[in-house]
Amino acid sequence: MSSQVLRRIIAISLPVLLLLAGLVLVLSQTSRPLLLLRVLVPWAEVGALAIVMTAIILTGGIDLSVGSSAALSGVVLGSLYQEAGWPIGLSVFGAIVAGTGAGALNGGLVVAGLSPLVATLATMAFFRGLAMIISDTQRVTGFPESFCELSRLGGVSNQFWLLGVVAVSGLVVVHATIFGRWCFAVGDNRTAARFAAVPDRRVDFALYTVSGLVASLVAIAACMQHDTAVPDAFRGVELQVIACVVVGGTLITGGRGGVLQTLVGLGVVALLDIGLNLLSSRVAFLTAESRLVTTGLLLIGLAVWNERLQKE
Amino acid sequence: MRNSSLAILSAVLFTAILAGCDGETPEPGETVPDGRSSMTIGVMPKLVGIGYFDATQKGAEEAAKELGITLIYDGPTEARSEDQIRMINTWLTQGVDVLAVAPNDPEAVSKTLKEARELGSDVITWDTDANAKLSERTAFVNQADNDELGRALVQLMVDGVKGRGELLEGDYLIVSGTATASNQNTWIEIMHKVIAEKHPEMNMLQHLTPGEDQQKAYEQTTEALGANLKLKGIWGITSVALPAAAKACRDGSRKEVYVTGLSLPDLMREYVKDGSVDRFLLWDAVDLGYLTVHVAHALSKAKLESGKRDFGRLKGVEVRDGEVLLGPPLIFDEDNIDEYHF
Repeated sequence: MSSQVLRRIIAISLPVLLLLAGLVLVLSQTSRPLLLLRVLVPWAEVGALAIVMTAIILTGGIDLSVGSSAALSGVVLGSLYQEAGWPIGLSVFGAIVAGTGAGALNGGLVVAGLSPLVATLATMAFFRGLAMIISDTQRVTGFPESFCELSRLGGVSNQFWLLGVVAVSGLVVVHATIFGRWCFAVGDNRTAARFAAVPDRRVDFALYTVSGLVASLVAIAACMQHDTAVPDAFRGVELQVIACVVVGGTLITGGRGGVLQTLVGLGVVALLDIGLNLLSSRVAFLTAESRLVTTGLLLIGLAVWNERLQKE
Repeated sequence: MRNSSLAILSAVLFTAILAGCDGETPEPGETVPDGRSSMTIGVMPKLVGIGYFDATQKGAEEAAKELGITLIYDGPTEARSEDQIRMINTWLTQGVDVLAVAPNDPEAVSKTLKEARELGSDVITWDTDANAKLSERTAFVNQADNDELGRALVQLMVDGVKGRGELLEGDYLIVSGTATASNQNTWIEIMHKVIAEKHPEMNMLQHLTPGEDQQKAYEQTTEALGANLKLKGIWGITSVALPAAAKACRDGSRKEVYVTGLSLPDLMREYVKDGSVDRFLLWDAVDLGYLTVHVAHALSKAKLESGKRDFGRLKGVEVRDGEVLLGPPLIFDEDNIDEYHF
């Protein structure tokens, strides 16, 4: 077995082993395991965003504004329906346009030469502020019954369907298309990629726009489920998303990683969080504060481990 | 060579983690009661990490010990309903018999509370209510009658300003908590009503909502003090808002502003001792936690009928159409503040 392949296997083995350990931990603490599906719904939202984030990080970029774009889309949905009185279908369309537009703004800024970190840091605040202004910091409730009923299709929450569709698309695009190869190339060495006629700017623009689009879909699914749109929603979600990508083994500097790894990372981060929450009722040491510390330490450890393993 | 040592290291780590996990799961037959042999009550405050909800935790734990039930007392680190919803769903997987929640936003949580009921847990609210119809919560453990509390807050200010020999006319400010919490909003409504009826010369400014954040409350109050040089009085109506307002007035040397409201004796002791604050009110927060657990437990036996009844060491508690009232508010001042420790 070549050292490359062995390295790959070891690199993914730790997250997978932790995933299994996490599963054992969580299942041992629940007396009603089927209800875990309810707990996993917000994690499906994180997962959908993480798949797109993987592609972005592969190019060496980052999108810190996903939470804010989602909140903005949700608020646009609520405002169009309640304030402007648009029919719900049109309001949903408006929300998608808002999210995609937000993503396009990110894409435009990055293509114009701004570092993705700086650009999305700024838009993170900008979109959140817009959401607060549009909604007048009020929540919107009272979406139509027909809309909320759609939150479960075929007995499964929409968020899971969304994750499924995004995961499959992501797997195909990133690992089986030229576009995917372009992402890896750009992340590995942008200048070399340019010389190889890779349209790196178009790749960037497309990725950030899609990130905004998926954020808007996540927001719509959440509105369907909770019957509420708040400007404060999805705060902090970008960090969870990035944690999933990094724990999975995608290098933050780009050029290495993949969608499958992110899915494993999602499992680890989700189970870690759920497991610690479940344990906290049995183990006195696990107060809310110490849970934060424990999660942080474990994630740092994993990220460092992955970086060291993946470096040549 | 390096690759195989990495493989061994991974295997060792894996075993260590598994071993660590197993070590924390109680074996069957251990003294920790599991959800099957006794009742499990989940009590969730608006957030954890502030003195008020530490006090309610003490009371809840006291009642849990008395009744011999398993208590899960936990909440999000920030006062956000998104986090509360996640935590509620996590608890449901552990099988709670009764869920007692202090919702940050009465609307956002109500759907989840209703679903919890459908999944077999009984639901009550405490400290602040949810949307009663939407959530179908069985009872609301309220610290005091909202009307009584609102009037008492107004009276404290009126007595305080008049007691200094001043006229009531002037600008007044309320510093609240989160913009959506229904308990604060109800009190603000009542205060406005009482003032409009009985003391219309008091001009009420737009209230502040710095969230359950003492630092933010301090900053916003300081700003407001700077913008309103003729402020006569400030109410701080959350446990963190009042000490923040007192500090802001003290630091800004605004002795002419009369500061009162509600907060914990432990948080207010220094301000009462140095004269920044005269009197303020609260209720026994420890008793509120105690009562919440007792009400949750009582519900498992029978429906709560309106009238007066005893809950553990709290006698003669009034139950009114699904609302359980802890009792009249407690007024703290220089003379009695050292008797209380929460």
